[in-house]
Amino acid sequence: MRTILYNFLLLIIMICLNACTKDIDLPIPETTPKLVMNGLMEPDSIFILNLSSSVSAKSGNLPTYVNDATVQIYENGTLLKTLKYRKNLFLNPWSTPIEGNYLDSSFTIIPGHNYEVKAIKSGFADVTATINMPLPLICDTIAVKEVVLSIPGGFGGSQTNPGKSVQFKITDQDPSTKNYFLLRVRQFDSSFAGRINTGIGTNDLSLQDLNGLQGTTESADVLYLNDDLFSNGQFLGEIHFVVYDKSGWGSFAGDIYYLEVLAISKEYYLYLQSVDSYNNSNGNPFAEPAQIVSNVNNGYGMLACQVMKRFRLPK
Amino acid sequence: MQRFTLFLVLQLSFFLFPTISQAQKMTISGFVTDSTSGEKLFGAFVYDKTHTVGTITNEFGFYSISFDKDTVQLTFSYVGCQPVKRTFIGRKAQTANIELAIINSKEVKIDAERSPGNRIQEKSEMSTIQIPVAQIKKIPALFGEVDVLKVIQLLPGVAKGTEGASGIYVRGGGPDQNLILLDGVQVYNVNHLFGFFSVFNGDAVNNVSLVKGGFPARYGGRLSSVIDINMKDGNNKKLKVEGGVGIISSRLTVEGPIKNKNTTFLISGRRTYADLFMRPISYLLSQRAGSLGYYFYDLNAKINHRFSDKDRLFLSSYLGKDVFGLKATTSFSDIQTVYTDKLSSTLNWGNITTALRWNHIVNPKLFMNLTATYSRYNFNIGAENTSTTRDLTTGNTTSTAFGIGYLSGIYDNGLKIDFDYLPNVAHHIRFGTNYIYHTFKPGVTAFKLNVSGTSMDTTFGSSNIYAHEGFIYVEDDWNITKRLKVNYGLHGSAFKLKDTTYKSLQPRISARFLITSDLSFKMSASKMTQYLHLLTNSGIGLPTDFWVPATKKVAPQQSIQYAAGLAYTLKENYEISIEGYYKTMSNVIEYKNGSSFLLGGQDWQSKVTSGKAWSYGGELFLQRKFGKTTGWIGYTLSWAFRQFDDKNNGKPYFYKYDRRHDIGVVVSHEFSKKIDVSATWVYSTGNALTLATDRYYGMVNTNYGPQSAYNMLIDNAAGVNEFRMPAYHRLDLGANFHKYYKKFELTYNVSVYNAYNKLNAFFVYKTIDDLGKPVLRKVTIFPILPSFTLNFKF
Repeated sequence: MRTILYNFLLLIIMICLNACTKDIDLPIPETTPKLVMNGLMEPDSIFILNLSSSVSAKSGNLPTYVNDATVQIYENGTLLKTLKYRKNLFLNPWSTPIEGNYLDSSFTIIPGHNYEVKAIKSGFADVTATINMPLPLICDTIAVKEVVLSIPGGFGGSQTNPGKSVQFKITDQDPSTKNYFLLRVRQFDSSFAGRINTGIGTNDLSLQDLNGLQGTTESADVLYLNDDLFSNGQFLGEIHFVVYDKSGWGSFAGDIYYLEVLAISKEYYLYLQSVDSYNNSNGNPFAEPAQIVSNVNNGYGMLACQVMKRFRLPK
Repeated sequence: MQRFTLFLVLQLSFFLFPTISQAQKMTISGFVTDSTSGEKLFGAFVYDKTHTVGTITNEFGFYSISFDKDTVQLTFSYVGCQPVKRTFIGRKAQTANIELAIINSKEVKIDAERSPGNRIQEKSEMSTIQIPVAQIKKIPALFGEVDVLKVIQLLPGVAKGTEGASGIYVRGGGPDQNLILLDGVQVYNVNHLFGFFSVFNGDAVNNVSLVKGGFPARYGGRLSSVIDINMKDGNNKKLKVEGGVGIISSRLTVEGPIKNKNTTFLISGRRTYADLFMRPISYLLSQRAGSLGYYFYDLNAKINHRFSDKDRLFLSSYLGKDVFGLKATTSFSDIQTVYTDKLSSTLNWGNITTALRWNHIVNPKLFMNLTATYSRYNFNIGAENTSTTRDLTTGNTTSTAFGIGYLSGIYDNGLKIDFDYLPNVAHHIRFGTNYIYHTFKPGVTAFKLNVSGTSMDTTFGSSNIYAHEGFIYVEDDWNITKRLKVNYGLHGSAFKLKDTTYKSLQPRISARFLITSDLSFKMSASKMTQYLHLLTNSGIGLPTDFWVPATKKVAPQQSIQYAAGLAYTLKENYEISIEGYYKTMSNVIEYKNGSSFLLGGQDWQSKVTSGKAWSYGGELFLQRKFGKTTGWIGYTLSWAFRQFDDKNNGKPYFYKYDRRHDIGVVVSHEFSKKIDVSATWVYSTGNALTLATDRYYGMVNTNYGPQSAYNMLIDNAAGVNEFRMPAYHRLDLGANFHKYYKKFELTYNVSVYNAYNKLNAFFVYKTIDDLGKPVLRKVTIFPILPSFTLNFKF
């Protein structure tokens, strides 16, 4: 609906104005390429750092991956490992290899520790990023109920669907600092042999407010949470989601649902929100421009971290 | 509570103190009007040259002046009018209604006899400009459409939005920070055609004034400016008709007395006729598949009745609307089936304002104005699509209809009472109170779906919000000594929405010190509070901009502005003012990164962020008011900043409408009674712009596990508004050729907008050219545009 009216408004303006156009050079300077680090640290997972270099927006070129840099990881100020470059580690959905990946599977990430990643390549300024791994989550589900949810339909009106409501409790694992969390529900879809996020709503007014949800029926891919909403060091919350278990597109009787509660770093929290804003504004002439948050010194990108607790929900 | 009690005590003391002082022997009061039309003259000067004291008429043309004398000679004067002298002898209170005759510019005497109190250096007010409507009508305009707001954009301290738009940005403030009043009623959306024209019909306007700083206590509710526009009352001497036929619109104004000349009326209308051409042309161009059309209209009406010398009643109203419509039908078929789609869309927005006013002279020293007001702004967009499928074999037809509509608006009901109290020549005291009941409609979306007879519909979005706003004020214009004059006052306001109440006490002061008879130093300080916000995504006056109230989550905006400057009159005909200002604003709101307006869904409060703003600069204004050649030069050097914790990484950035240099030059020359010409040249630094400087791969937390299988391409801006659009400049030329006949007058107006065809940017966007290179594409809408208008008057 939004797209229809967006385009209608644009059409009106352009028809009315019957403008002429002229291209002018972008009034931006040629910028020096910088190293770009992206990586997500998680306990019990192999840490993979992706390294690439930025290009000037004026050039119109695509960025390039960096395959011959020195990447070091420090734990609590002590050099832990030098990561090794791995060729053709991933493929994107178009089956082209994604380069620039560095890893070492011989160490583990420990909650509560401080990690610094440093990348060095000649011709570029050294880049570093630092994170403090969150402490282990103290989180439990309290109750899971079958519910009937009223969800807005595609053309207005609403539909009722079977769903689940999960009550949970998170205890602030480190009251001395501000903590950030993500909530999501993943559906293990056996037809794709993978996991997808399912939209989640909440009855909790403070969660609705923080995530800009309009009431209980609106859902989001993930819900953000921080300990400003905690009371006496705890958060008692509720989330609900539609179970496309017995009917509907893409659902199978064997589907399993997991509630994932993640403690994430502040930088990652802000980064994810900035990515949402960026995606909303990209290509939309009416939206406020958005900038992507970065915690990489002398460069771009995001060194993120998370500690996750996963609850398999009863069928 | 204590502060408000103190405020009331102060108000009473203003009222009582001058009456306790020594009793006056003579009070002269009355109205000053134009002898030709009977229109009241606002700001006419009433002066006793012998004792060098005087006063000015208020916006209703009323004056009152008291003397401790038995005999006094007063001079009544007004810009462009022949002064009148009268001698008053004896009696305690006398009424004198004075009519002043307009004179030819070449007959104007440039000497000290001319209304000394009207000279810029003598007024206590600063940052205030009054613009004669006659001058507005001479300035060349887009498509020949005289526009009050476009002229205001030519003044120093006022930045325009984008090319052609009516947006007004005063001293670094936003477009919502201007209190625009038409006969005392607030007008919320002053834009036709996305801001290319304003809603004010120049033929219906009597006077316009702009206040940018040093706000007197009687004004409140907005941070950056007051644009006070008063309609004519109607000619009470004879029936008068004037109008014009132009390229895109025509207008007609009829005014005159009714019966015994105690009642006058004015009706003024304007309508475009672009739709008359657009519909048939678009129908043909689309090969009969559809048509589109656009038009707008304005209607001003006023009637006023003089019951007696003491009582007058006015009823004025404004009605205006923009309507855009589109219809299209497409059809195709295969061997078996015919498919038809019919689309009908409409976009319309408009204002209605009404004011019922009673002027009453309580006694020769006390004038009262009681006004009931109503203001309504609505915006509506709707689309309906019907798809029909007809089976050629069976003849069966099925259809699906889908409709969507979006409505937003703001309605105000208000009541206010204002008093002018002139106890003696040293004081002009104003006090009063105002109450407004707001109804906000921040956006409701309605859906309708009909599939083969089965229908469903739903409505969602923000529900109506109701709020109360009120203020009380007292101010005194005090001639402390011959050199020192001060306007000081207090404005107290309150705003209540559900269980949230905001209160604000706003002191105001401005002062002038006469260094010499031609030169004065002025300074002012004012605190302002604003309880309404305008959510706007762009500067092109889209009707989708909508008004929202301060709430528990979104606090009112506040500002404090300091200004100081010099005012000088050179050779009695050139007025020069130099002013510097510094303004801070808090709780200004903008959309969050990535957010935009649109259609219900997310509550608006979660889409916006609050922050602070500040601006400073200097303004130079040189004006020639009399003679065959008149006009002004205005230059502004300024900086305007914004800072939001969640934008630009919390660092301050330039406001989008930060214009380092802004120049406006306006010149009119009268060759003879038959020919006059005018020219306008404007220059301003380009709008600030956010552009991506670097491109890189970002991490996406995809659904495919903690490590992305692919990376997201990001075009990242290092900072907000770090770049500039190209500078804007433009020259407009105009000429009027007057032909005088026995009973009527014709004026042929020829004007050229953008005479040297500078292709100024309306907006810019980043794209890829044919060679694959990223470029900034500049969209221009107004090349050189000649226009012709035939005006008539009888």
